[in-house]
Amino acid sequence: MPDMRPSARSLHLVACSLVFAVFSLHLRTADCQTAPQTENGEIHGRISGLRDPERHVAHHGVSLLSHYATHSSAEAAILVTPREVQAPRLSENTTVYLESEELSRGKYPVPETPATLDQKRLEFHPQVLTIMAGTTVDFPNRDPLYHNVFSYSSTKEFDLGRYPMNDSRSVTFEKTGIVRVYCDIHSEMSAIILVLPHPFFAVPDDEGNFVMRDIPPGKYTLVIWHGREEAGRRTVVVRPGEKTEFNVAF
Amino acid sequence: MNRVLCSLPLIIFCTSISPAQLNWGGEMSVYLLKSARTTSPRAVNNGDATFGWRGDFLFDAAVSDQISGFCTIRVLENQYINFDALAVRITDIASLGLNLQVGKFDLPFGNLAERRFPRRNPLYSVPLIYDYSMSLPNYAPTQYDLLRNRGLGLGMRLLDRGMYDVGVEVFGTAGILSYAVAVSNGMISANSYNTLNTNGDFGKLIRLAVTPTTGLTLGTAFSWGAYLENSGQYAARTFDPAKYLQRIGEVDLEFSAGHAVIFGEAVYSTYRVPFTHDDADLSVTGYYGEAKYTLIPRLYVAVRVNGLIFSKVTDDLVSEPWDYNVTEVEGGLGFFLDRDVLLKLVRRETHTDGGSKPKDNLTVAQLVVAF
Repeated sequence: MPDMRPSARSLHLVACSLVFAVFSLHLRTADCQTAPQTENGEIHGRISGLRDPERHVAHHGVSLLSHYATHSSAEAAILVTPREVQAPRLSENTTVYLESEELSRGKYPVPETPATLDQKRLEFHPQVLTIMAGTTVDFPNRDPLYHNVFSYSSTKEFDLGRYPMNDSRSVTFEKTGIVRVYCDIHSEMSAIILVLPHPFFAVPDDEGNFVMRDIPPGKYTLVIWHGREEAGRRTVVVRPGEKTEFNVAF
Repeated sequence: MNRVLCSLPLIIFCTSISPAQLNWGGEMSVYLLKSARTTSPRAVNNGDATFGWRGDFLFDAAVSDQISGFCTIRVLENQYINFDALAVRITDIASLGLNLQVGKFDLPFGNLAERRFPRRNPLYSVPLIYDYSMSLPNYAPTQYDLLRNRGLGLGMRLLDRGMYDVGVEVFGTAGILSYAVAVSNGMISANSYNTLNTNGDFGKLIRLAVTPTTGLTLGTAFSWGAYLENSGQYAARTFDPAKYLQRIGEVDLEFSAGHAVIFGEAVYSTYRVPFTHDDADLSVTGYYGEAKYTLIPRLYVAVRVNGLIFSKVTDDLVSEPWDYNVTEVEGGLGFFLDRDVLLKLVRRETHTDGGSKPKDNLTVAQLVVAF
């Protein structure tokens, strides 16, 4: 009988170890689902053939209500000086992001560094800004005159008032959705902030190349947003530890 | 001359631009008005409630890097189609930062600017100095005409609405200073809106403005020229209408910070009239102060205080102001249903120092859609 005691103790130990091991494995699997580290994949993509969704209008000192803006010298200096006419760059007005219910349910750390939406030469830069919900966006004014950034979007309604050059205001976007941003003083200024529930998005360079990393394996919808609207959707499969090449031609 | 100048921009538009270079937009506005039942020029529809509408259409076109044209068309409920502005602008001439515009444009006087349009005007009316019709007409009145017409709104405005007129303007900036020099067909009080604009001399205008810091602009302008109509009715008379001048000066202010915007303007004008024996001029002083504050996103409150003070006509028999002094307060709320859809509720109270019914009021609900 005394011999039995160590054996029973050993059995208990083995049983407990098994339970612990199973529990640990379960936890590890759960971890992988929310913030996978080793099994993630990548998307290396290229977008081509996107056409500018908005007709680009040259500004030569007169533009609609700007006819009457010459009472401010700083304003006139910017409005009247002919601006170089060029199509908006892809890196300024395009973004790609993944869409799936699983990704939306996940928990991700919110970036501590604020995103930035500049106001420069009477334009927002970039014209499309993509952030994760909970991110704070800074709105610095780089022009020698007032801007008044505002949005009446249901995702986030705000009015920052007028503030001068090199001053900035901040807004934190908690809710996901589309935020259309304008300047109350300069009616031609507009930008879009896409607030996503996850960090799986990328901004292409001016040639259309983009890289999205640390993506949990799975089948997703890749959304291409260009200018003021969605340009297209594609299905993409990300495999564990693999680099997925994905070209989107329009 | 008017036709030639107005045709020039049209010719350039039609021959030089492609559709891709044309830009356009505008505003539509509908409103419901209810005023006090008076005979003053501030009353609307004899005091009965009435609807009204107006449309503004703005076009601009780039011909080249430095040459562009712009046009503003205003359509009113009375079916009138006004070509408010129609001009060609040449920018940065010889890389000197100097700009030139020729055609019909808003005269460089005061700081009304975009607030002439309902979307930018926080209230319903434009300031009294731009809107109130005085008793002085632009034809040579007798003293009796002038005094009899007090408070009836039969004459000129101090600043004729948007003050659009045909002419040429040179303007530019130098650091914090902006400047404009213009020559136009008519005078500030008698340009192309309610008058024939056939006076015998050009109107001359100079404007200077300084922006010492962002959000603060101080401006001043001066203008002079003949304002009496140059028609055949004077043939039998012994005077030359071109010698009867209007001289007008103003100072203006724009200040804004955070959610507050303030505008102000004070104007002093003199008119030489034929009937005074000692060449004494009639004079009028006008002013307004306007403030707008955004309470929360979408919602703002605005108020404007206006006034017009007239000099006295004095001879052996009378010593009376040549029109009734007017003070007016206008206040209201604006709510943006959308970025380009604005609903305004405005109340205006007017007090006139004379007349049978010196108090006027106006209540307005206005819906503005910009596109």
